[in-house]
Amino acid sequence: MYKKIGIVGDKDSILPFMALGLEVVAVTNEMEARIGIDRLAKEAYPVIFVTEPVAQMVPETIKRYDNVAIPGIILIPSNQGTLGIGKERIRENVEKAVGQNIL
Amino acid sequence: MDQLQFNQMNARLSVYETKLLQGAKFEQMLSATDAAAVIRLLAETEYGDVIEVGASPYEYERILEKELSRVYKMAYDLSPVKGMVDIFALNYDYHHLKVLTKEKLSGKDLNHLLLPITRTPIEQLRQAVFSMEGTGLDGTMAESVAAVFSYFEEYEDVQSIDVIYDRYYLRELRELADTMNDAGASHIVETMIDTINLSTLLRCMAQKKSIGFLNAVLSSYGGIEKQELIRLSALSYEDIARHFEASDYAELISEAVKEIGETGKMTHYDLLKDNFFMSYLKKAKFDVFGPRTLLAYLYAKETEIKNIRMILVGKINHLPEPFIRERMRESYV
Repeated sequence: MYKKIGIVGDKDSILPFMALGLEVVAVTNEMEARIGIDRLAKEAYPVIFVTEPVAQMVPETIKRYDNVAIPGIILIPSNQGTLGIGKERIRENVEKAVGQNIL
Repeated sequence: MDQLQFNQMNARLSVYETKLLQGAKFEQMLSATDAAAVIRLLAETEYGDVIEVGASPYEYERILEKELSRVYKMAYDLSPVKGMVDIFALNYDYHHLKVLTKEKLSGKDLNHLLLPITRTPIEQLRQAVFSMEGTGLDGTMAESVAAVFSYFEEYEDVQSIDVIYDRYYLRELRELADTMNDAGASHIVETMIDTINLSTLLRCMAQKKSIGFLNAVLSSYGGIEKQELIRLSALSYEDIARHFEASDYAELISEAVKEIGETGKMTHYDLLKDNFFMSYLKKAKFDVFGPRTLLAYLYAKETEIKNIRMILVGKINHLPEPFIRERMRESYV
């Protein structure tokens, strides 16, 4: 089954993904980030990658999608290196799912 | 061509040249703490007119585009022969053709990739591309559109779009220079095509491409004959360097060959090429007659903008200063 993937972040971190066929949404501030993520969600992108610095800008937006199945928002490091919050989220989710931290 | 008709333009250009950013300014920008500080420094210069108060550093593309379009507009107003400016502006027409062609084929809106420098109005280009036959354009450019679409229909090869347009671009560049009937302009264009051909040759050799491929991608409109280049492709890099020892390209080629030998890459060739071209055009700095100063000024401005973009992108991504510095092009002043 063919599904689309979206990616939201700063231009220099995410532009290469355009070559892979992802829908690239380059943002520079909070407002653009919120609009970008909401637009992809509304257009039924099942997976949306968001760079960590952008996710930090809009924690409420990210949280809003935490409780729905689709879209799945996955945090990825930007070209500045990882902030660890993406990994932290996975750890939390695993803990929620299996009852303890197995990572 | 009458060399005296450029006198007034040259006098004015020598004033504009003083406004080009000096080395000290670049040093300041390089040592600035972040991109916003670079923008503040820029606002004190010639760029002040195109920077709105409170502009975000992320808008740098728009700022630089505006400046570039201002420069071209001024150049068109200034030059008694429009064709001289076309030599540099033609590049943008073909860039737009590429973008519009891809827009048509992909069905996506690529408007943001269009630049405000228009030798030919965008609408005219758009129409030509949408007709797939170059309707409304003339000569080489119309032919290029038709060639791209007929090739694409047959082979559906997206990469060939750029290759075909580039070939026609170089051909039209040469035609443009020929109609100018000016030795200086012709030589500049020949040098431009030669440096591109040489880069193509070396890259193709590194990738072990066939002679048929070389034949398709090399342009026959440079100063060095295409057949000669193809013959050279059979030699070793060292022999090629020796072949050009007595030519203007000696240093450029030997540096490039040295890099290929050491790293197998040609990452620095573009930088070397730009610097080579700059030092070549610098000789035109003290021309009182003739159109060369205009071409030199336009190139100086393009390089300046390239350098500023490099600094801004570097600062936005927090790259260390030496990293940015080694990528900076030699400037005109």
